[in-house]
Amino acid sequence: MRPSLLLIIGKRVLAALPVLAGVVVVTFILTRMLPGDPAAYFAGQVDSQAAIEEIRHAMGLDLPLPIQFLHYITGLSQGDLGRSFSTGRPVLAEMLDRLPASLELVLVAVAFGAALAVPLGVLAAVRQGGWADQAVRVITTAGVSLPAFFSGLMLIFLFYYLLEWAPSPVGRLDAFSEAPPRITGFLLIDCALLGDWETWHAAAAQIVLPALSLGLVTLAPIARMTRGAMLAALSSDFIRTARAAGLPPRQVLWTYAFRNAVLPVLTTLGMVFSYSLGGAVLVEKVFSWPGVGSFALDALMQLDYAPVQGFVLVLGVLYVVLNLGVDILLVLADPRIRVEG
Amino acid sequence: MLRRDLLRHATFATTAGGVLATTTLPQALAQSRSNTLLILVEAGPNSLDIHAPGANRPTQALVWATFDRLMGFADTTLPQGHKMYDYFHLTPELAESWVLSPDGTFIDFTLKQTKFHSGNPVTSADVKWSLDRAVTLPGFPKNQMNSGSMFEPAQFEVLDERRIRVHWKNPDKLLLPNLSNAIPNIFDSELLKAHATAADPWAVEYARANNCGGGAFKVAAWRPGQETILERFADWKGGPQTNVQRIIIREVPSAATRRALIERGDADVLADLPPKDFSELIAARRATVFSTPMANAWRFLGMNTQKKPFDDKHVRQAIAWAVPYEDIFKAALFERGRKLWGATGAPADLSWPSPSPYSTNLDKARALLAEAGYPNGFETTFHLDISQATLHEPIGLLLQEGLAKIGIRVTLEKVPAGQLRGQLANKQLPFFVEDFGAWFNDPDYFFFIAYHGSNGPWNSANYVSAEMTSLIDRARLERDSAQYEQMVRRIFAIAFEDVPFIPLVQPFQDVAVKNGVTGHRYVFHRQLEYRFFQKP
Repeated sequence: MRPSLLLIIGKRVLAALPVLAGVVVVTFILTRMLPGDPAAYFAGQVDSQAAIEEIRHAMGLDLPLPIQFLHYITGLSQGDLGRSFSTGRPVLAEMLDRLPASLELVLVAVAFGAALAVPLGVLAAVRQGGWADQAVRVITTAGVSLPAFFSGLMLIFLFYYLLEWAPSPVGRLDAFSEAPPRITGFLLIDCALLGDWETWHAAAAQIVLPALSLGLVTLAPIARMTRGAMLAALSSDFIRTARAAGLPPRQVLWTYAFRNAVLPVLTTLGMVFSYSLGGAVLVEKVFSWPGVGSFALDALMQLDYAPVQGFVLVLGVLYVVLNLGVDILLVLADPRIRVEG
Repeated sequence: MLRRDLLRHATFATTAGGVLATTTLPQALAQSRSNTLLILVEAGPNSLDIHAPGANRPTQALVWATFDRLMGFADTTLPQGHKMYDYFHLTPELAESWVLSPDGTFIDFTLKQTKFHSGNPVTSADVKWSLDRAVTLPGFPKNQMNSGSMFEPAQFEVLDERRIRVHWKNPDKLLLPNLSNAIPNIFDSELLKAHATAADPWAVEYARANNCGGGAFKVAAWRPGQETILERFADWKGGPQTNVQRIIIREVPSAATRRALIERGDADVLADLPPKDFSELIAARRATVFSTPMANAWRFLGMNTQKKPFDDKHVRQAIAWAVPYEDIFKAALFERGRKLWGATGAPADLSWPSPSPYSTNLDKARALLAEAGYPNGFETTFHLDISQATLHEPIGLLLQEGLAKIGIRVTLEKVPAGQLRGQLANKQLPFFVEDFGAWFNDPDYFFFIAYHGSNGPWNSANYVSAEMTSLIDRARLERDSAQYEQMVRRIFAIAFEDVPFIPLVQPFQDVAVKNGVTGHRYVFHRQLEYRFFQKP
């Protein structure tokens, strides 16, 4: 790795620290400001106020806020994100279980989105104003206007309920498949590493529909950005020169124009990935996908503070890492780029 | 589909262990699927031990199957062919017999000769340790045991290896039901003591995540938020064994997805669906739906009796006369419940809930409102639960429209479940819709939780009446049945007169099973009874 890259990473990590500290403080305060009483909720059926107070004590919510915050910070410094009352497990364990599920889904979805949207964007740019351009606009607008959970339900209705092509939408594996021993937590990777191709097929069959419904939403931003970047590249001087020099159109298009247009597309992919991770909640619900989004939403509904804080923090870290990754990719893709830390 | 099914079975068979390994014969595979029951739930248990703080409702269904109690409830058969618990008849579960002392101050239980899942024998020491635990651990367990007059470990006395005596001070009719509900589970105390620490003497940390009972099923795998897998305990002696070897309880949060699975025949049992889906499922006949009016439960509108203008009972009565009951019943509840309005005369017997004398009568409502000094109505806010929006929002909208006719302008406020329950427990909301159910059938018990002047968290109407409180307290200990009936009838009358809660329906517990699956049983905790399902 070049020294400049190391420098960028170091600077970025340093710059991220205050942001993450802010995230920790703000999520703590925001969760505490929610109206309602988690102790009363988790006390459930008890019929005395005294019993609710006992639950409050067991949850540590009878302590003054600064003390609660101190406990939270102390726990954090030891890698303890607290315990989720809604699942009864440590938040860190939940995150480690669920994050790979979400990442796997979003990766497949964005890969699908990019595989479809980038060629569409290029096509739209090449045939600017023509019927292909209009068709691409219609397709991507349709994709972004359909809420992902709705397209999810429609896909289930069509491919599971009517056509019976898809397996039952009950999560990462159907009820009668046994999950492989965990290596990375990414089922497709773990099954491949273990050579368990039957389970790999089962897992792949499960991920197709949710990834499709999530991927449809990503089409529009990727295609639009590809089209814009390609238009800019195609109208630039060096392309005119290349054309004038008689280079083959394919080479002009892909080697010169696209290579230059790829930078903003990469940046967009990073952004799309980030918001898909947060926006996958409803798709996770519809497909019973055990991801972080639905976990955090349930926790929020039940005023389960620790998972909400943990989710925001983990996502904050992830965004920092993701942005860094995209920047590094940019440098690798175009040596002229200098990324300031 | 057929090809994929075979693949699934192949995967299952090879991982299920030695017996089926490498066997790919279709019959053997069909076998494994045929004795596995797939149950879909909206949310699963968040603990394997109901004594753990914050254990949720699905945990009640789980511990009911994974632990035994000393006693259980007998069955009655309902017209639809399924069974329902009989609150007034207790049957042996872990105890083979019991004898009440002549003076009524203690009861001696003799245990069956049986084992825990670990292989440890069940002894009276285990029973004592478990009951001690239930009266000691704060929150739900202690609270529930106290309601049966069990307060301290000294009340549980080991007589010998297989006999235990339970003492009590006052003749409380709730004592025996409180030894038969989902709290007094009998734990494998040898196993738990090995995992106890000074800070956690009752091994709650271990028990919340590990199997440690002796019930009909043992927990084979637990992935919170995803699935729980139960395996039949072959040595169980608490009741009849089923042909189901394995139960997979899969968490499927989306109601639409759950419904698609049961309609396609890919799931065996499913309980949580909005009323609309059940009414359509019944019409489509793609699955068998068993409906049971939930004992001791109602869906109601509540008003905070200490907030203006609801502090005036005429206002509450006016609203009770203005609710568009029929519209709500048809368009919001899809008729999935028993009507709780429009009674003529007093309730026929002491069974509760019983229909109220109110019905939609706008003239009466306007007159009462004018009498209360609000001839032009008033403005108020109505709170409902977001997570139940498919059900509660139409109720709110119809109510908004109905009350507008008498000049009451209602703003709807949708809030998350955690927020709603907290604000209700703390009596912060003026007007709301909620569900409530009690475990035990005694009417005074229902009123103790919801109407008593001690103003507990379920008295969300903040209702305090000296006469009501005194009647509830006296009825609780009344032994003379004529006296008791008189008191309870007076309680009903005050409840309808003061009307802090306006009953809408006694909801059905609707359970859809794949055609051919039998053995559904309705139990007091209103969750699924996992233990007695049979596959065809």
